[in-house]
Amino acid sequence: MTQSIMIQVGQCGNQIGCRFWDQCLHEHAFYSKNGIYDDAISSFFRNTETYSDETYDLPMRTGSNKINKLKARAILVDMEEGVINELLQGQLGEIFDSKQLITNSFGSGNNWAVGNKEYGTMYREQIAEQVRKAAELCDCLQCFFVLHSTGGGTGSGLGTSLLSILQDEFPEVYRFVGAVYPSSDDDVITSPYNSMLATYELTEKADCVLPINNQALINICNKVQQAVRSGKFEKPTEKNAKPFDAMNNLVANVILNMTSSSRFEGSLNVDLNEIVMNLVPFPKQHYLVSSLSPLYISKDVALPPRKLDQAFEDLFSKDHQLMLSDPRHSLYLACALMVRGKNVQTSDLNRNIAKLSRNLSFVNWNQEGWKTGLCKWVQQLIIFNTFLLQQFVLQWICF
Amino acid sequence: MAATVTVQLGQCGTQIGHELLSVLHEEATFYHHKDRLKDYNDIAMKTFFNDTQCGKHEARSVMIDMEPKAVNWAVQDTTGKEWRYAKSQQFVQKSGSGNNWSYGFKVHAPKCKDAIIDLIRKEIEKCDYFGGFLLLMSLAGGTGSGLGAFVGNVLRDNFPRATVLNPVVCPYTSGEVAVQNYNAVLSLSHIIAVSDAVCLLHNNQLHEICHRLLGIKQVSFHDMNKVAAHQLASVLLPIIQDKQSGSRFQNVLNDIASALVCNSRYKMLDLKCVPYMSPHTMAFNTFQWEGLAKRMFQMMLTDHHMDEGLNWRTTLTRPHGKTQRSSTYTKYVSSLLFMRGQGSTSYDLLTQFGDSRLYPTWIMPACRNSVWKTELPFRGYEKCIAFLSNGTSCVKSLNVLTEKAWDMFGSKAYLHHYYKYGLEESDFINAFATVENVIYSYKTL
Repeated sequence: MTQSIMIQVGQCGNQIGCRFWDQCLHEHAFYSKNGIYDDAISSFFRNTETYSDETYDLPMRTGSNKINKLKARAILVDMEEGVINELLQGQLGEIFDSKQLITNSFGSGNNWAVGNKEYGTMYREQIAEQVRKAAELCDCLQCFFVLHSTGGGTGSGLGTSLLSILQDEFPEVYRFVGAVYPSSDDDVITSPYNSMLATYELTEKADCVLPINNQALINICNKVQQAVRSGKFEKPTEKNAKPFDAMNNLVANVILNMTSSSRFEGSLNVDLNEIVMNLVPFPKQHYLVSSLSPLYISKDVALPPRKLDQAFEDLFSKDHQLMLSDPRHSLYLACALMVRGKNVQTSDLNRNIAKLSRNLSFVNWNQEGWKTGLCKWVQQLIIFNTFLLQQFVLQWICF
Repeated sequence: MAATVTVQLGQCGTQIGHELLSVLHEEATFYHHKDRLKDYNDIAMKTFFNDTQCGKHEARSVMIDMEPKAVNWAVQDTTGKEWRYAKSQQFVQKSGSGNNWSYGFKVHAPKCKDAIIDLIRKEIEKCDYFGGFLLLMSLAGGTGSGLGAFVGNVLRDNFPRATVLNPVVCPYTSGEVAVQNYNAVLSLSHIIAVSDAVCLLHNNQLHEICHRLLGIKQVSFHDMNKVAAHQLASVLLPIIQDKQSGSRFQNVLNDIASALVCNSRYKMLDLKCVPYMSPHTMAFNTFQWEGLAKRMFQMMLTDHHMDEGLNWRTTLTRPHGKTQRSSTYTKYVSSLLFMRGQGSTSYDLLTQFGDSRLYPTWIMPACRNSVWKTELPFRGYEKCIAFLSNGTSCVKSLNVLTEKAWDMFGSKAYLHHYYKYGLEESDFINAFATVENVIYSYKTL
């Protein structure tokens, strides 16, 4: 089993990261009810023991050891201390090692240049050191996940300078970036500059970028809230929910679903390297739009479609995309369809692919550009779950 | 009799191999009334399994995969069964091949070569008399196809006298993996050179059989693997005549290869079986050789994979006024029929299936068609016919694969992933040329 390291940069990155770890722990708790430290959980967590203030890694050996103390394979970077401190004081504080944090108190002032050039050079060695340490603790490191926003200063600037560190130190390890692009009514005035500069770096240095648009996330959350208000479902019982939590949960779920097939078994496994292989036909064209069905924003609420086929249809609707786009009127280069659920089989996949292919236009040299995956295990409360990654010609990117 | 080592490569190879071994074990331990059939069970068991002291049979198999999930599932699935995989005959790595043929062939393969040869040698040493390899893999992925092509080369280099039968799985034409056509063309170009025979199994066809003949509404890969296992087992199980005491199958793989592959240009085999039905409907069916033979013959003429939806208008007689070349039926280099069931020895199929119009003129009448019969039933079917042929059935699917791969190659899509690990444009061109040659040889039959 391979391991992945999560690198959260900036306020946005760390807040999404917080939701990610929360969801991840829930998922693994649901999957492995007897608390065994197995292959699946080792992809994101280390099992540790603390002796006299030093933390030691417990090896997996036969895969039947109980979980002692989990530590996340993560590096948290922020040039302001507020968000990270809040994270550490919350419920998730225990899964982070203090050595995994890189903080400053001055912030980047929403300036890409400060984040990239100034902090990038100042913290280069420290970040490289932390990444190396985290990588050494991995048996077989497959991929780095970098979470950040492109509109600000730290996430955008330092996040992209980090990519060049990863490229130099670990050229064979994939760099997946979850980049949150600002919405049109963003309150940061310099966000267009920051996003554009960040996008240039992402095109050059990342293996795969999942662009996410705040506006799209807001729309999805509103849609779910409406459904809740109309009395179709119970009100969610999320305690201490923060304002952006709902939106961040969506992004966290995208990453969880993308890695589900490499962590859990299924009849047609899809690893992260397969995603890059199948969805990136040309090196610089690696921006993948993602979509989820059914939609859920907290662990209590799920919007179940009327049937499985409806979930597939919904995946291609404008309202389910995490980036403002119109899938029905775009030209597809390739498309990855990953389904989770015990009762979903290859015939369901094929039937829906046949139906969907009729209404979607694929580029002429890749008419059957589908990559399919089936995973047995789902998160709790969901019966099945479909997830889509699409590589199509992006009409616009946010400005 | 000769033992066969099953090499299961990649997720697909592991899963299909697992089903196949289950079917073979079931058939080999099935209780028959007559004890003359102990020979049959013995031979079937010894060919594919090893008898261990502790009573459980161990499969003569080596499982190779670049990531552990599928292999772990297969090993765990044998708990509670009467057979199991030998310990430490599995080779797994952690990182997977990422559907990248080049990564499987150029990066994983050289690193794992020695370990794999070791495992295979260990398995062969357990055999009294070693016959050959059954190499199971898919064409679409990275490990099965890339590492599989390399393993094929390695087997040929290290064990030149062993027969290699290579059932490969062709992916859904509607798309399973975006780069499936590249991987398929690259693999085929290698395995055609080193295997003795390549048998194409198609996901599309297996799916349709499950859906239409077996009536399964939600077809899963598990169902399709069972059908594939059924088809392969129907040709790999021994053929025993009641009247003879000896077995007809001294070396199943060798016999098949020598019956079907007379010329190294023609190695692509196709497999068809009748009948198929769901267990519920079996009780209501009567089996007659005439009926089965008729349906199989029509399947042979029209190259259809199942006995439903057949085009009955295609016949052997040449349409009036048309030239020789425009015949609409499928042509074959040679074919092999397996009749399993009561009354098979007294029913003659040779004249019908050995008709000279189906075969090229340069092949001797005795080599065109063979029929192997046994009175023993197979898998609960009172009578069944399996048809293993070497003919133009492969042309259509190979054409589709090559055309799509060529289209993609023309736009240079995805190539950077392959070039990153050492593959070059010339490798692609050579692969295309090899497969095109095979297609051409069959087309000009």
